[in-house]
Amino acid sequence: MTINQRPRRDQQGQDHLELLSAYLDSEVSAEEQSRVELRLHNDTTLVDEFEELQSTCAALRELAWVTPPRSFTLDASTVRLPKTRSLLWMRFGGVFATLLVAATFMTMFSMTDGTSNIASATPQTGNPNTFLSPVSEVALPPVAAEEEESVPMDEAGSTFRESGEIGAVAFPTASIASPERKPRDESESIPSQPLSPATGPIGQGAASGKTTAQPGRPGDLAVVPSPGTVAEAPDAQEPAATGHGPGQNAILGFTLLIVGLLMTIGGLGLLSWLFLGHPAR
Amino acid sequence: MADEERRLVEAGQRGDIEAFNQLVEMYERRVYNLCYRMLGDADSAADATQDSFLSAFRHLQRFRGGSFRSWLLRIATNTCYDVLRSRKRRPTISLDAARESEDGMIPFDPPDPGESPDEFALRRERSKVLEEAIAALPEDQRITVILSDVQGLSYNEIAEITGSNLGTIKSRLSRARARLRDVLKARELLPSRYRHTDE
Repeated sequence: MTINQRPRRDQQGQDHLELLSAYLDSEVSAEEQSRVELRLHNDTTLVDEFEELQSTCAALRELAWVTPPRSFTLDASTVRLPKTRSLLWMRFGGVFATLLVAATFMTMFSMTDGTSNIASATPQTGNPNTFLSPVSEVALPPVAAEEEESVPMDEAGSTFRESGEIGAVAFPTASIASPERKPRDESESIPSQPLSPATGPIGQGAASGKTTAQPGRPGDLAVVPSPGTVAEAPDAQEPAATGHGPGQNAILGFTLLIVGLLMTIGGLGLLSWLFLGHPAR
Repeated sequence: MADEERRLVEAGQRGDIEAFNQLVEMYERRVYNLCYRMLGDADSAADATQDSFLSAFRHLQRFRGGSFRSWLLRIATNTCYDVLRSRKRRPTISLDAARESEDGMIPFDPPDPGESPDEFALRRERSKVLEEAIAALPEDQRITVILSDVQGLSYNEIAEITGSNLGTIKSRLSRARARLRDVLKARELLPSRYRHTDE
């Protein structure tokens, strides 16, 4: 017997056993029945095998039926409880879904509005913990603190009040930060002006004119990080510059809203499947 | 009987719990025995039976006619599969199973009239070996042999309950029978005569 003959014989044996087993239950076609009966008539080993199967089935049928330990009739309170639970889930699920959709909607629109106004909004808040804060932390301490001490507050204030100077100082900073954006005209760079007061000490340092005038000094560090500041400002202006209008924002918002709704429905379905049990399959 | 069953099902679909409980009483023995043979211990079988009837009542609106018994046994089968799956995730030792394995207790099975003590003892021994052998079968073969040879259902009904085709049922059943035959032969417990006993 070769190696390849064994699986074939096993398969034949299985087919043969399957046919005998089905014949035992009268679950064969007329053609199969006559074939099995002919073989049983001629093959004594097949008869033995068939009788063994018969005996096995007889032993299985002899297995005692177990008496249930109790009645399984349903109690009205047992049956009603899951319904209440289901309604409870639906109610809270609905509230949750509404809140989620509202939150998605508000977040989305605040993001799109905030993107276009981010440069101007930041100085108004005057919060040092905004995206500009790393600049003041990294760049300023050694020199800017020095500059703060050397420049009285009144002077600094008067310096800021001189709008012409602010423009003169802040604008070159933007030019240093992104020379490849040079083709932009002045009107594009102007929104970077309000960044200077937000940086506080940077503005003061820059306003004093010392850091930009002496590149070899550590004061340059106060200017170098400002690309981070200014590099974000042109990006923030991108939507307006590239023509992203409120219509596109609305489409984006609507898409996100639909996605949020679908995710909510899917999540609720999953929750109800998990907590309310499997349906009859 | 079929008309009465249909009437009870329709009443149950309208929320009549008393009517549904009549169906429970009709089928609780069959469902419990299926769960007991599939799960191997009385407590799990009782829980699975209760869950099956509860699930059946909750989803009764989905029953679209046909055999209510098949539909109910299908729910019971799926409940048993769920229990077996959860056991695989969190293996535990059943106290019932432990107790049974310690003292060799099997369900009460009174002697047949005219059965000698020797025959009764042999039959008890054979039942014990068979139960262990059934419990050791793969799940798909186990449910098939229980529904066919223990509960006496037709191939078509088994196919409906398990959601398999007739060819698969024949194949699973023949494999299961062959395994059980080998176990009984090895213990020299094969009965010498073919005897058909109904429920």
